Amino acid sequence: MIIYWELFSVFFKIGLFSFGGGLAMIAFIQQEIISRNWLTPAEFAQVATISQMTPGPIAVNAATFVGARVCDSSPLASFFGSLVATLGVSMPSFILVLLVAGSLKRFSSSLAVKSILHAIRPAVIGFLLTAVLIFLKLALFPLLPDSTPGSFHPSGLILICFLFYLHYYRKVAPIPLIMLAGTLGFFFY
Amino acid sequence: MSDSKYFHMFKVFFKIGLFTIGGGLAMIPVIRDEFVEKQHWINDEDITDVLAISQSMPGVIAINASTFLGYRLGGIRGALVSTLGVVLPSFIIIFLIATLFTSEIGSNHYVNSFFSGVNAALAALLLAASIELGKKSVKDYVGCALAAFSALAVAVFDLDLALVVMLAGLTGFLYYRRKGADSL
Repeated sequence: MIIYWELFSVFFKIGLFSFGGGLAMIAFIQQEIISRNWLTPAEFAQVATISQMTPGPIAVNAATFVGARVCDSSPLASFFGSLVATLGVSMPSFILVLLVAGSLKRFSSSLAVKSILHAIRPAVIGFLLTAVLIFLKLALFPLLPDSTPGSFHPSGLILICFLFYLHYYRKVAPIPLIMLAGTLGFFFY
Repeated sequence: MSDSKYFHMFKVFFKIGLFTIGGGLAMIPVIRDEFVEKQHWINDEDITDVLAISQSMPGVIAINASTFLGYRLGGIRGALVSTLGVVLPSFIIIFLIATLFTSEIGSNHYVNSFFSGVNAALAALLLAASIELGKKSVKDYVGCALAAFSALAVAVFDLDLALVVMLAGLTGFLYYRRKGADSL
């Protein structure tokens, strides 16, 4: 029972403090999940990948996945785990939006709200950079089967630069880029 | 509002949840196409409101947007139906993946190589996103300092990210509000 409550409250917190959507929140989700040993770093990286390739918000995907994995004693337990985690992550949005829906204009044009958001946006860039570090580390020091970081893999650096070039300068879309990167992974790793 | 309208809203948001990969703001054009162009239930001004709410509220963008539109179209019940619709596809797909593909992933060399390559792609994608968004959101020295502080706080000092969000918000409230609307 306690685990369900913990799942709910952790994902409620993730939903409540998410700004900037999706990718910016990877560092947040990772922080909360890895510190509780709910997933290994390797599993977490897989969730991030799956989220990039399947539809839907990454926070919801992470909640559903972690809920099922943490409560794996039976299919029913998994289902309830997924359910409470997903409810937890969705509820803050739902409640907060209903609270301001009636007075949206006054809310979003108020000086206080604008000032707060003006400072949170750069902070979100910091979170994004943290997420860059997470995946940089995973790509340069590929995890060993026991989920500990392996030795330095210099060719990973070439791969990252090449992929960055394709996406940033050649405008290759995220999903084709991920598929290409996975295929190149067979040669680079 | 008739039951068939609720059902239609559910269907549309289910479709949005099913087909917008990556979620977030990618769903806005789909929402516009369906509710402004096809159904004429809302107008472009409502779409602007959806954007405002998605960008000024914390939370999952897809849920913010669907709750807001659902509420405007059909009250609390509309909000529930739309939110359920947008979440359900992810829930079903990810639940199946999580329960069907258990831990044989991670022990296979080829699978590991694939995912290592994908991690390289995620690093590249996130770096590009940081640059693009950074150009738009970091506008002065305080913004620069906030970005550096939040990166260090989370990556090096492992500070609770929720705390960093609150500190940044407080800084904005104290600093930018005093400087007035011209600074924003």
